[in-house]
Amino acid sequence: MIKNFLLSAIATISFGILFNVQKKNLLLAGVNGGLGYLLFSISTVNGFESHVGMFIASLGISVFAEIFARLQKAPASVFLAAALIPLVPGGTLFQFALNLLEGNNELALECGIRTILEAGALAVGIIVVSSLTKVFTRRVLRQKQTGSIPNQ
Amino acid sequence: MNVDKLLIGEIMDIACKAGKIILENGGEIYRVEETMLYICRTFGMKESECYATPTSIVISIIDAQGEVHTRMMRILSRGTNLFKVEAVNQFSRSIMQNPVTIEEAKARLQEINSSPSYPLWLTTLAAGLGTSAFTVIFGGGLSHFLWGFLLGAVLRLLISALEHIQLGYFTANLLCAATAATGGWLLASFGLLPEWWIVTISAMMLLVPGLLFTNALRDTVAGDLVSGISRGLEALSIAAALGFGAAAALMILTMLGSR
Repeated sequence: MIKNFLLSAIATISFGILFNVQKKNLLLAGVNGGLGYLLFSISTVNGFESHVGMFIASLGISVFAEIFARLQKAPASVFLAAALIPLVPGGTLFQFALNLLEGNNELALECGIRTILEAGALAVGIIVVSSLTKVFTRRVLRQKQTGSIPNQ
Repeated sequence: MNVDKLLIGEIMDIACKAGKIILENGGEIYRVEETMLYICRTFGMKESECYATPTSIVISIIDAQGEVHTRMMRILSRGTNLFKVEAVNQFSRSIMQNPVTIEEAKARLQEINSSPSYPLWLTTLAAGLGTSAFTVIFGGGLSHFLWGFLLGAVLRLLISALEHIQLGYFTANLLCAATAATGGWLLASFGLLPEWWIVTISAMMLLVPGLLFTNALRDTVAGDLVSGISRGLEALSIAAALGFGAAAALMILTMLGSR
C-alpha cells in the first residue's frame, strides 16, 4: 500500500516535469497522485469494482487539487493533470487496440468497455467536484461582497 | 473613430494571444473563453462574445457605436505546458485589479510565451523514472525497473527528436509505439526479462492519450460538445496509431524470430 503510494507519487512527479509544472507545485502534485492511487487501491481491496474505485479516487484527487489550488494560488488542473496519470486506463486502452488488431474481438470488446467505464468514472468524479466548487466559491464571494475573482 | 478601431484591434489581438497560449498548452475550453472575456472587460469592452474549440478561436466585440468587430485565430499545435496556462491565468486576473497599458500587456504575454521549459536531460530522466515506477505498479521486479528506465528515457529522446522534425502526431506515435514494443521484445528474447509486455506498456504510458480522453469526456459533459468530439477523435486516432505500431512491430519480430 505504502509502496504503491510512493510509486504513484514518483510517476506523478515525473509526469509533472513532462507537463512543465512549476517546481514549487511539483511536490504537492506528487502527493495528490499518491493519494489518488491509495484511494483506488483501498476501494478495490474492499471489494468495489475497478470503475467504482476510479470514481472514488477521482473525487478525492479533485477535492485535494481544489484545496492545493487555493493554498498555492494556481489553477486546480496543475495538481490534477499529472495526478490523474497513474489512474487513467492507458494500459486497458492499449490492450483494446492491440486485441482489435490481432483479431481477438471478444477480448477487445471487454477491454474497450472497461476503458470507457473507467474513463467515464474519472470524468464524472472531476466534473462533480468542479461544478460544486464553482457554486461554493460564487456563494462565498457574494457573502464577502469583495467582487474579486477566485484564483482558479 | 479610426483610433477606436485600432484600439479594438489591439484588444482583440491581446485576447486572442492569451487564449492561444492557454489552448496550445493544454488548458480547458472554459478557461480560454473566460480569460478572453476578462481581458476584453478589463479594457472596457463590455459586450463581447467568444468561442473556442481545440483548433480555433473566434472573438467578437461590439463597440459603443454598435459596430461588430470579429477576429478568428487558428490553433495548430497542441501540447501540455501547465506553467504557461497558470501564468496566463494569473495575468488575466491581475490586470483586473491593476490595469496595464496595451503595450505592457503585449510584452507580458510575449514573456510568458517564451518562458523556458525544463531542460531535455531533466525530462528524459523524468520519463525514465516515470516508466520505472509504472513497471513496479504493473507487477514487475528490479530488472523491469532498470530496463524500464532505459526504455522510457530512449522513448522520450525519440519523442523530442520527432517533435523537432515535425513529423505529425499520428506517424510519430506509430513510430514510438513500434520502438517501445521492439525494445520490450528484444529484452525478452535476449533473456534479460521474463516477459515483454510489462516494460512495453509502462513505456507506452508516456504516449497513451489517457489525459486527452478524460478531457474529451469532461468537455462533453460540461456542454462544449464540439471540443468533446474533436478531442475524443484525437485520442482515438492516437490510440489507433499506438496499437497499430505496436502490433505491426510485434508481428514482424515474431516472423523474424521464428525463422
